[in-house]
Amino acid sequence: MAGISRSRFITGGIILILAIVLPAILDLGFMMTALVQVVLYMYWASAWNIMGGYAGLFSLGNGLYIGIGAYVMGILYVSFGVSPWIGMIIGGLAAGVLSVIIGYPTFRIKGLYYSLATFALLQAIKLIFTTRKTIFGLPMGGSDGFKMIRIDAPAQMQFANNLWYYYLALALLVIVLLVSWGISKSKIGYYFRAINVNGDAASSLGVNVIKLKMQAQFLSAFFTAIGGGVFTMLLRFIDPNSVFGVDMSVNIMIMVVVGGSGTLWGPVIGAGLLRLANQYFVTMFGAKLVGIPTVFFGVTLMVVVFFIPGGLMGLRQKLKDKFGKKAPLRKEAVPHEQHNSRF
Amino acid sequence: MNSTIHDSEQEVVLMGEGVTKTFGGLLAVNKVDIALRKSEILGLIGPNGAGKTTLFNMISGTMPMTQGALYYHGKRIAKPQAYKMCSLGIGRTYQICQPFGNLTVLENVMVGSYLRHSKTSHARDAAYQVLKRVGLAEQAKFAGSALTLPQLKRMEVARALATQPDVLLLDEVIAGLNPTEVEKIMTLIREIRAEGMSIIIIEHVMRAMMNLSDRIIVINQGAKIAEGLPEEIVQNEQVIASYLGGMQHA
Repeated sequence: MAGISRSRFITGGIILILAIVLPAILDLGFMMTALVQVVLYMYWASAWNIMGGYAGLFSLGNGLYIGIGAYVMGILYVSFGVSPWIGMIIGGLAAGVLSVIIGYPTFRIKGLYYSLATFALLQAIKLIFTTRKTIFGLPMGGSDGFKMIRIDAPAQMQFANNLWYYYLALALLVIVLLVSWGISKSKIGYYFRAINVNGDAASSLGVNVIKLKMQAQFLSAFFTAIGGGVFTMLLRFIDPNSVFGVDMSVNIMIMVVVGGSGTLWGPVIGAGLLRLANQYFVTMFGAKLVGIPTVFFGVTLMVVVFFIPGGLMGLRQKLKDKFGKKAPLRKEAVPHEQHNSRF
Repeated sequence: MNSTIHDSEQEVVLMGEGVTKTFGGLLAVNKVDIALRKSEILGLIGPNGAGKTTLFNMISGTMPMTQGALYYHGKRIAKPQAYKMCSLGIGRTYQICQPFGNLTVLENVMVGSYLRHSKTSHARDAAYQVLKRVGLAEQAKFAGSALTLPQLKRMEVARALATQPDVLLLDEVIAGLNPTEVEKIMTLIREIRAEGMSIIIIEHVMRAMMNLSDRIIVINQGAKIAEGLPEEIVQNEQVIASYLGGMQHA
């Protein structure tokens, strides 16, 4: 592939083959569900990175799109018999359109206020889905949510073995990474990174900032919502707490910041490490120390913001600059001042 | 000096009529008329806070006008917006340099060159040519935020040039530079004009303004108080009283 060095291409290929083969030959048992969720978080973090990392739209409410994707797909399946494969795409498009509608007024709000607006919107929508048993005459179940009809048919995105959900999540992750890579190397990627730092200066260079932000938000919302659909079919259940969770949205953001926002692999690494840590704490402490993963996430975020503002990928680049071969300064070598200032 | 002609017969490229800006009760720019002719260097001077940059911001579409009208090649611009103005051919620099610190110098300029070159390889080549022209080719792979002030000012000019403008608005690109740098950037500005570009320049370095400008407009407290050839402006009593006199005593 043009633009990727041979060694990176081979490394990526080996990682992908291992990611495909290892879960199939290892007997992971109940851990498979946890592994699917790890990959889904990697995927959501990478989708958030398109708008938050590249374009600087620091949304705290991406759970909104997970929920929209899940509910649209779920209601199309349960009430109208539409296959979740199709419902998933429709859910993605619905979330994308919603993101554009939301974007029009909120893009005029800058920095922290944009983040707060997305957070408030998530809360408002969650409240609607929690308190309303029906929306537009469709049965949403209110706070109880509703179950997916179980039939174990791949055509209905239902598999007896969760390994197939893992492969589905992995395929989505590969797709979103390829899209992110394409963006980062293209005109739109440079524009995203320019508006991330200074929208006014970018605008003076002919960049239509509002349109670009809408494109970033649409893409991010679309991918995020598709993941919401897969998540729902994995759980075979949907309720406002599981898909409109505030924790979910904030954790996705933290994962990207920890891994390195605006980089290709940062969100994957951040989500992988934090989600595995979360799983470890839950397994180790269970109900004895319920809040420990949240504390861990918060402390990790503070440490990263204060000591390694570029995240783990930024740290890697700094170490490379310091101890590696003399290389020209790259974008990763520059701290993301914009991001730091938001905390 | 003040070389090439610029009589009133020259085509007016950019014109502002009654350009006004208020911030709440503050009248920042008060009904300023401005006309830039083809291949002209028009100097814009005045004390700090006179409204020069605000006028630039309105002309470049960065800030909406409260009142007034803008015409580009005789056509009224209905709703000036920064990206549209740039697409039309009006490029600008900022008084306080605005590098994209997460991009290299070359990539900073590519953000501008993408306007006329959709393919990345073409945009990169065009950006590199502009960097060579402004003397920043060696710094092409540096982070945008790693430049010195003179280099940042050159990068600002490079980014604006990369959009291939017809009109260039330069906001204090000379201030803070040493004499050698000043000479270099003045040469660059003259070269750009010689290629047919029209330039409005805001600057406090009067020697440079007198050498570069074909005409000068003086703004004080938001209003235009004088307009004319540089030699006329330095003789203007109102200008001396409100601006030049103050500079001499400073």
